[in-house]
Amino acid sequence: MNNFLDNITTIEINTVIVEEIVDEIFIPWEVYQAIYYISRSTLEAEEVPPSLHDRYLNLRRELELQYSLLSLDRNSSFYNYLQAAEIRQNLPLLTSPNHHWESLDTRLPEPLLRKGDSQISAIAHLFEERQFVNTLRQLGKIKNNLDWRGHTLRHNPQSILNKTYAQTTISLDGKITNRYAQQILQHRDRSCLLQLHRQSVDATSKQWQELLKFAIAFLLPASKMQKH
Amino acid sequence: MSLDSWLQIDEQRVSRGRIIPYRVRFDLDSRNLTEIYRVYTDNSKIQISSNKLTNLRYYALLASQNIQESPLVFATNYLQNNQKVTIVQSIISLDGKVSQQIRQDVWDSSQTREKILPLHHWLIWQMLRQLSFKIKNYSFLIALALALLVTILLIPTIQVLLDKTILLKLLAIGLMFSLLTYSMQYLLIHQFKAWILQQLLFGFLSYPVNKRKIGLKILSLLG
Repeated sequence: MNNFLDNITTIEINTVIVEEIVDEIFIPWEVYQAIYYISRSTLEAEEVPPSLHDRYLNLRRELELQYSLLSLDRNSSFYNYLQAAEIRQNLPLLTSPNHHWESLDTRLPEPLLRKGDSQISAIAHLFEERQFVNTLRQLGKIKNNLDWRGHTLRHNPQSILNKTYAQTTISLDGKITNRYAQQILQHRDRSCLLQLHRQSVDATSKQWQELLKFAIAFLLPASKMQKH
Repeated sequence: MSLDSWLQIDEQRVSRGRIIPYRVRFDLDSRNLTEIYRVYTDNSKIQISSNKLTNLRYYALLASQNIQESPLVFATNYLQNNQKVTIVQSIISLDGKVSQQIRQDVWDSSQTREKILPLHHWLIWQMLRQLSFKIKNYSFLIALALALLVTILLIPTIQVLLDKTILLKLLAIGLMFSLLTYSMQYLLIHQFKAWILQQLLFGFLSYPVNKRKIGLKILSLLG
């Protein structure tokens, strides 16, 4: 188990108003294919709002980065000792948020059937890597949110739908930071929206305490066992 | 008051031998909403059935093992005009990130704002506060019992091997018993417990609920 207690320094509560809450089913192949083909040209062709382009491209960069890290992991079946030096050289480009990584040739296996069965089995093999699939799941969720946000922006750019309109961060040192989307300040239901977020924050604090108690009492001794 | 009728823990098959929870769902309608709201206003406790509580603990355990990838998801559905609609969903990750998704027509309905939303938060809290259970550290007693058993079995061998006075034989047996107790306790705490956790999360104790109960029980006895 990861030492999660070491990594928790803040609790962040985000409140989002959505058109509808859907049951998201994660299908690795679909998510992989959707993110693999993200590029500036496809985003323009699909008329994705320009304000979201960088965030979509970030998904593609993260996927590429995850695969590169897998290729550098000696314990992974994807470890590529012949190209390790070159992959390592490209890592700074893949980890920085600018656009230079787009000039790199992709190492990811292509999803479509143009190159035959070897690519399909490579991708299937990739889905056996738990860390990669977990990253893919996270990226899929972000993409879903971006898709909803894009849909909203196309029809009503001023809408707060499908976008975090309020965020509260509570640090362990007692610092509390509240952030609000500009649109809610002039929103006709501003009071209601702020109240909804306050309810969320109050409730989360209590819920979080209980979850932490469980984790500390039950899992912390077990995690130390696994470490040893 | 029992939650069984309208509390569901949705599960999905992730591999041939593995089914895991992925969401906790509260299915509310006009009838049970009144009952639950009364419990809420009375500040009473909601009793969760043993099976559902086991699955909930298992869900929380899984979420803690896959922190970034498997948050706890709680959704409240409301049945109206024969249609089940998800009104609010809370996604709680053990790394501190919490997302509250609220359906857009919430503020149009005073019932939703004043009853369903507070109940949603309260029900989550009610469930999470029942996650923890008594952990008793019986590892020493178990180790003692195992060491005693092994010692008794090995006494004839010692008697044959040690052609010495009775005092020396007793000393040898005592020493062996102590070493065995210490070793057994070490194995129980450092190896067996980790193995049980592994089996509970990914192995033969991960499904169905009765096996999960056994796994959780064993972990609770080992401290």
